[in-house]
Amino acid sequence: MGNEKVTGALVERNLMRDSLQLMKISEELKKLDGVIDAIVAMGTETNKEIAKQLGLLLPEVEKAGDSDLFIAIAAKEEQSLKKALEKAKELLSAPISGGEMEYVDIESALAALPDANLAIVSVPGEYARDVTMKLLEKGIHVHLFSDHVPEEHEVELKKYAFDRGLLVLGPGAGTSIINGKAIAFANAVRRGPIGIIAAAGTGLQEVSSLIHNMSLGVSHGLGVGGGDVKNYVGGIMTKLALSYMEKDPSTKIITMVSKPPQQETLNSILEYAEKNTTKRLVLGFMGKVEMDLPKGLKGRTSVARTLHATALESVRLVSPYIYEKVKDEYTIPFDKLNAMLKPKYEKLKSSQKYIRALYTGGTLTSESLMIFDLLGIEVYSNAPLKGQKKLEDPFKSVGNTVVDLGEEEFTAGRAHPMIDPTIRRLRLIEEAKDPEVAVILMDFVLGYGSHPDPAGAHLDAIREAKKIAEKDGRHLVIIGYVLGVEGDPQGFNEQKRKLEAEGVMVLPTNAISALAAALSALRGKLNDNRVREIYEGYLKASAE
Amino acid sequence: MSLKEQIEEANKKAVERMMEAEPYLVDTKLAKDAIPGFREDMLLHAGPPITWERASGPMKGAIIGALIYEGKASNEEEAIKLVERGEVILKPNHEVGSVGPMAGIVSANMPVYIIEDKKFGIRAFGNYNEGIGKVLRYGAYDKEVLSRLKWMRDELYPTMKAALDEARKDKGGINFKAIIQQALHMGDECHNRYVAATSKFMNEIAPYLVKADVPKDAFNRVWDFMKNNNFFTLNIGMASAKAMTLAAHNIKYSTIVTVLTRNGTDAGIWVSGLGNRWFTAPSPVPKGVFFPGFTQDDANPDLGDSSITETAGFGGFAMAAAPAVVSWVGGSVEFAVENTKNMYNITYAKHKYFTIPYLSFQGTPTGVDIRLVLKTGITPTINTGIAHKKAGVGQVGAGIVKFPFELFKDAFKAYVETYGA
Amino acid sequence: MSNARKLFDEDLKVINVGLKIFYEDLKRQGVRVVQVNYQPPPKLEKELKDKLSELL
Repeated sequence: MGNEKVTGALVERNLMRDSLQLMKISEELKKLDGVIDAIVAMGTETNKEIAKQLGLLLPEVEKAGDSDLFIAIAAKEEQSLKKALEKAKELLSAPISGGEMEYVDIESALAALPDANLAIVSVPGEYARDVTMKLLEKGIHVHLFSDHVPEEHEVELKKYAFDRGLLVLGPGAGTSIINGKAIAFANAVRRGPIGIIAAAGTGLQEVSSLIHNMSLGVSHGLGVGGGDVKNYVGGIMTKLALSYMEKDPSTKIITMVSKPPQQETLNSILEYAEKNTTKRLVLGFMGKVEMDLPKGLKGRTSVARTLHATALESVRLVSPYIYEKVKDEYTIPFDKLNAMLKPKYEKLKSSQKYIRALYTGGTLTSESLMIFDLLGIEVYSNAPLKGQKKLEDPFKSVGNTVVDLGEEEFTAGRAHPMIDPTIRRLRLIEEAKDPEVAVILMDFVLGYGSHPDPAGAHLDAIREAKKIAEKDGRHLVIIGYVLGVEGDPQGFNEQKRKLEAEGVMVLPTNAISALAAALSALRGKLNDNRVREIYEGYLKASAE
Repeated sequence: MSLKEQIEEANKKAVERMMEAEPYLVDTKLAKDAIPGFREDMLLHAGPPITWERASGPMKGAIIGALIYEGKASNEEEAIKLVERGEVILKPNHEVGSVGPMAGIVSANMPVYIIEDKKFGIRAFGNYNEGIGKVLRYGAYDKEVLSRLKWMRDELYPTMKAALDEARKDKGGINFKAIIQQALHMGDECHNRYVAATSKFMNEIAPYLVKADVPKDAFNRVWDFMKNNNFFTLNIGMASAKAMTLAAHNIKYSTIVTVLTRNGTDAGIWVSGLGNRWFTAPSPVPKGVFFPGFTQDDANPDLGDSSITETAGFGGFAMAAAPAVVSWVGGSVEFAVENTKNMYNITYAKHKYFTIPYLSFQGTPTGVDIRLVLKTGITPTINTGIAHKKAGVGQVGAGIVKFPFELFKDAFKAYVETYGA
Repeated sequence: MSNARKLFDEDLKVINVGLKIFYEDLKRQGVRVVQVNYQPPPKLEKELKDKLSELL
């Protein structure tokens, strides 16, 4: 019945431990299954008195001397008693761990790790300069995650670093991949011959993940920060990165990913590339960029206008064989894409016409906006491209809307949406309530730094969204783009499976996903010429 | 000379005096007889000035207990009425040159140790340590506490007095600086770990107890009391530190901190060149490990004069000498070493006599300089016992605490006003 | 000359200053990394700051 109790004791001769440590061990033992009471203490009169009060003054305990340690336990049955006594012995012999050491300043960290070769800095932007400079002075490369770093500081740091051959990756750089290790928000991409220089975090993530999924790999991925390709910086780190990639024996081709650089900087970078590189280049500037390729770059440079094309072209240059095998899987031919989406968009009511794209990745947002622009679709956004409309209230969608949930207005005082799905979940439900919404498009960015289960975190909201639409006699076409690889902490395949189980159409690249969203909203009726232009000019690169 | 040069010269002198002071335990007397300026209606307490209304649980409990001990009140209500009527003068220990751990309450008829600095002739005082568990300094005042305090006055005190009289006759008293020096080489830091120091002290005092020919049963009880309480000599160490910091105090232009203390409500500091002027800020709640059944929510803000040990260049500043202290205050052995290293950033010198074997016998960080605190933002980080916020519950844990930055900022502002330039 | 440390294809040894998630993720990948919990320098009013540099 309930009152059964077994007791047991152990004495360790001449074993000394501090009373605090012993108290902690007693507490641990009391938490074990089946343990009623436990005392672990030195064999002093006082402690024996306490043992007596607990009904644990067993013969062994009584015989224990001042410098002996006794363990006495009362448990519900033999098995628990035995386990508890074993645990007690284990805890007594374990070293005291106070957890891992965390340092208060760089000097002491350097003393502990004197041959550090890389630092990640994510302090508030106003302090980034001092912290970064301290590290650069020691010859340590810096991945500078901090944003809101004053422009003068960025330029000062980059000039200082460039003169010494030191990399400053950032500011505001979300992603790097160095020696096959993910730095900040990055994916578990295998190593291979493609070197990537990116001024666009999610861009680096998508291109590297696609390369991995197409069976190739990345030598290194250097995030130089969005500011680098603007005139106030003039491409300082892009250039240093180019020379690093050129010198690196494991890099066979060099791929660049960024929003279009400002003209002066673009020319400066191309000039530098001409003089300082010999390897093949893929220039992945998102969108159509007016370029005057210097003579020395002609014949070894490809120009790509989407992340999709950047990845495919990089693969093609390394292995035409692999390219042939994978290209149709990624660049899904239009008819096939239409056939895939038709059963879904057929169910839409005629009053449902709008696309609502809810993004966590900034670069993916821009690419999506570009695709819609090319298709002649009028779009509202909180981060519109030239000629597109700005949302009056970023929290309220109008017409076709593409939101970048990573922008200030959504992230002030909150974690980034790649980590915290709260805002998007709420937004998704709002969109479902709108009877004019036809298609919802979302990105699920995997990798280190991201939410441990982005797909899973949205399932309830997706189900509720569908229910809301159903009750109203409506259907919703939900399209998801999963950015990542199988080796990511979240596991690509499992994430894809979870979404597909909810009827979400998961497509292989962001560009295709955007195209599919447009296709669905317009019931397959896209302008032939525009579609052709996208496939020929944007989903494919051109080799110069 | 520029003000900067004057500061350098003054600090050098202050820290030199702090290190060269030679505190000896020379005698023991009741507080009313030992401490100049002590009044019968006075209660000394730890930390900066405090009023009854603002006092925390443990402090209030200790005040009540002391009043009952003195026979001024027979119970809690009477004691409280006494204080509320303004009939009790509360005065910080530091203002009369004494120190006490936790609530640090010293009343007229409590015995105190008398420390004399043989080098500069300064005197400092410290009360007796009651042991651990339910004790007055944590705000407990039940029958057990009061009868122990009585025993300490009626038997412990005369026994110590007899022994110290012999010690004084023999070699001027017990050289406590030497004991601290040795203890730092034996795994103590002499604030939260006093195992070696108490051991050495018992070594030193034993022959004098014998010579003093105290009654055998008294001797046994006293010896047992010392043996069962590693912190027996904490208060002697604190008073020694007080003497050392007094030697560095009141030196014109000096920016060296000569008092770091707390009363359970406020933390406070003195700066050598600014005399007995208090700079205060709310006392932080220590973060640490708690005894079974207690959590961070039960913790009282930091209290006690024991941070005088860090002020004198040992205690938590010498944690690297006492890795075993982490089983008491939590954290890792590496943290203990790092804390000492970190404190070098805000101190003026390395101690000439107190050295740390593990750091190649480097001197301990000595002489907190308010200029360095302002420059680095690093404030003195110490380890400490944690009291329950309710009076009388006692110690609930131990941990780490940092002195608030504002103390040093306010002191620096005052310094600039005072010395102009 | 430059004291730039070798990075590509050397063992990564990282100092992480700031957000702890990056430290934890690097540990998960088996990278040798130490964590620095950054404390910004104290915010002092200009006169105080100037006075300090005069006297220190």
